[in-house]
Amino acid sequence: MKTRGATRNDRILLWGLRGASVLASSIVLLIVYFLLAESLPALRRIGIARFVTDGDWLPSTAEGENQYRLVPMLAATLLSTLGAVLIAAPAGLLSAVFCHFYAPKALATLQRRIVELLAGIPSVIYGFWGLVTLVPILQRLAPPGQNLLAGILVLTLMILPTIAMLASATLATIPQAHLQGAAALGLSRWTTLRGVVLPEAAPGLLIALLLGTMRAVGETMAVLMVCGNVVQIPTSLFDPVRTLTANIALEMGYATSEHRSVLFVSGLALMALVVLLIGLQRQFRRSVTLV
Amino acid sequence: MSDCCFEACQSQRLPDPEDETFLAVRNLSVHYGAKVALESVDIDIQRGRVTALIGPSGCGKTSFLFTLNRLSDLIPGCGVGGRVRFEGTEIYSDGVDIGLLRANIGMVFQKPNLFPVSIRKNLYLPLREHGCPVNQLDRRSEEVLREVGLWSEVSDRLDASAHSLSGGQQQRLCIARALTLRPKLLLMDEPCSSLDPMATDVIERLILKMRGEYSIVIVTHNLAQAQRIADDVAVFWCHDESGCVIESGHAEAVFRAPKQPDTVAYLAGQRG
Amino acid sequence: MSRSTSRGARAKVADGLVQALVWGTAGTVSAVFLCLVGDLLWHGLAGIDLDFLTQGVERTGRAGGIFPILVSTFLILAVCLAVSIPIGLLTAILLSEFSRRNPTLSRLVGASLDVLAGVPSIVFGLFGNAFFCIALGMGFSILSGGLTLSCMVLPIFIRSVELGLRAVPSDYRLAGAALGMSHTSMLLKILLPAGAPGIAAGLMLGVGRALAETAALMFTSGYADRMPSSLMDSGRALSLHIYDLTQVTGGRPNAYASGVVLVALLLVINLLASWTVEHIVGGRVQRV
Repeated sequence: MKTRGATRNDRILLWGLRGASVLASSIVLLIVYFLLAESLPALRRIGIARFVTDGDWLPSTAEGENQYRLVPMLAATLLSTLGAVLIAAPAGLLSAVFCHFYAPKALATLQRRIVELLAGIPSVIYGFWGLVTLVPILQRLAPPGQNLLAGILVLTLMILPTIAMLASATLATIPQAHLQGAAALGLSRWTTLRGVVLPEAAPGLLIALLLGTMRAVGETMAVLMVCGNVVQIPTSLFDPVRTLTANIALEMGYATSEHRSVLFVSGLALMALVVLLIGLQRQFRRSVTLV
Repeated sequence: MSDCCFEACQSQRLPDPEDETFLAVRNLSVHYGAKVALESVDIDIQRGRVTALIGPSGCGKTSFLFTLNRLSDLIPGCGVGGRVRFEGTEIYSDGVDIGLLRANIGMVFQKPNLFPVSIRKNLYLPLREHGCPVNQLDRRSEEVLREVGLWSEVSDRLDASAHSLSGGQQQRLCIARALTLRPKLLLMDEPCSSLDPMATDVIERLILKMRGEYSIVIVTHNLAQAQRIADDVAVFWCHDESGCVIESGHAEAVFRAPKQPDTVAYLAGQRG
Repeated sequence: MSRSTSRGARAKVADGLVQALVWGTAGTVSAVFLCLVGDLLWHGLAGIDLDFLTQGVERTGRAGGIFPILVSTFLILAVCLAVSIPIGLLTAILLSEFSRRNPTLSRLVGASLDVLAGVPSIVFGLFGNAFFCIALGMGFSILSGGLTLSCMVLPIFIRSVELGLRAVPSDYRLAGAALGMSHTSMLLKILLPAGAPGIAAGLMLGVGRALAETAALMFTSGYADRMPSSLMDSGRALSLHIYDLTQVTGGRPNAYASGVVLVALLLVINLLASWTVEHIVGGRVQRV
């Protein structure tokens, strides 16, 4: 009978599944391994301290005189992310609230569809649009127009759909009965939002915020195109800056030896930031499901 | 009262099975994690007869049924103890071919669970799986459809989706699908509970027609149904939240002169 | 009494303010979207004709068409899918059907996929460069780029296939088991066909992500704008072409036109994905 062969097929299948799964999950390990392996020369010969104490970012001068100050890039990454999250979080939430509580059905669907489409637009298009539309406007305010503010605005646009979609999914989980309860008490929409909706949705909103932050930290193309890419710690929103990601994109093409290794160090730093955010998010998700 | 129940469970001890016993269950227990669902069940199921499992819900009737074809293996956290001997083979011993076991012991569920494919494909799938030659597929499909009385109703639309049939037709197609493999034993878990009275009547008559040719174990909540179709019955009862068999034997004997007080009360509609 | 009236009035003002804020934000989001798409179409559509789609790149993109770019893009995509579909399907099957039997492995895979989904694309670029281009000796090639992208796409693809398979009623699994069917034939004949919408949605989400990707390809598939002659050739993806055109003076008209082509491709894929998700899987596939 055929059944004997079938159990053998099942065994082969199971090993195939396990093999593929191990392969898929080993990618992360490979990434960490190669980041570490490539940054090790820099970490060993230059040391972490010099990424802070060096006077400047001069990665390809005469041998032995290179300077590797990463602080300005790190500052640019953190500031642009912070700015984008500060705008996109409330805006994303309001957009989700609009879909669920304010908009007539047709408008809500339209808004939802627009947010979905915004989420699907590639970062290079956002960057391009920022460059040809946003930057000329900012240029009139403060030349050269490619600056931190441009980066923040473009990043805001990019992470807004992520936050809006997740916030919307969270709002959808609020039991109808609670909303009806609030309505029965004659509460105004704003009181209902503040008293019932926001407290219940808070954990989900925080997760949305973390995911948005993650996306902003890792974004390359858009900030590369609109931020001006000058290595400096910005003193105002109108200063051009260069983020960690943009720095890698700009210099990987020609970087060799020590310089290349330092770029991998900045990649490692990005990875560490992202893993931290994911860890926070997983931790948070777990504590939410426990309640 | 609980003492009485405890004794009732103990009173069902049976001797070691003989080799020619069709299906012998000894000291069977089922637990889900730490919760015991069924304890020390001893039963002999006879060849060619319809055995009805009756009793209040939650007393492990379905759990019992699931142990007979080892479908319990698929339920997370479910553990089975004791012995089940089917035609001389211990089904819980190592090296048992589960595919073959389930081909020999067919099953019909509470709700029809046809695959989301055509009527024809639903019958072909198990046949192909168990090595039926391609040129026999149509003949065998027609055979089982005639057996369950569906042939005249669906012969002109075998390629329609199985889900387009009515509930009663779907359940009969499920029976036909189980019959494709010519099982020696057919397990039925409340097969009529989701059907209207007319469809129930059709299935009951089908079961009566199959008696003799197939051996059937059927779980039912419906005492009248058990009386109409069963040759043998086993009464399941709960004690301390775990189930056991308090009485079993010929249907007529159990219905006419139940030995256990709980059975008397249950049959009279006073308990359970 | 007067106190409570003033409080009531204040609540009314707050209610009105919030309402204005909500509508204002929603309006702004839509306006920006329309502005973005409108600007792109307004400047880009004019540059698109048959010649643009079928001719080679001239004067580093300022003139000519994007045919070799399109070919490279699709080749990179093909490599990416050829690798991620089999690995992704198998992993998703393990996660949805066998996670109970392999609890440790499943938890590990789940956690590592979560991390992988969050890795920034530029880090994928670094990794792809170090691993595929240098360690495996593939150099700047379509193969390196495609493989790097497959690493990126895997978590998205796996998660939506997994959700699609989980959405298949467990009735079918019980029915199959009761008929003595093996896992292999259950999968091939029932579960995968029934889970096809989830697989399709995952595929489209993955393709969308791959098409949109730029940073991961800069140092893996490279910038060559000529027609690739094999998978070992460097080839420039459409998104990278758009970036490159913004760096050359006089490249903007063609950057607009290429942008329209890219967004049009993505739009079709996105609409297909959300259509499959909403109409077939019934919204059970999560889009993040």
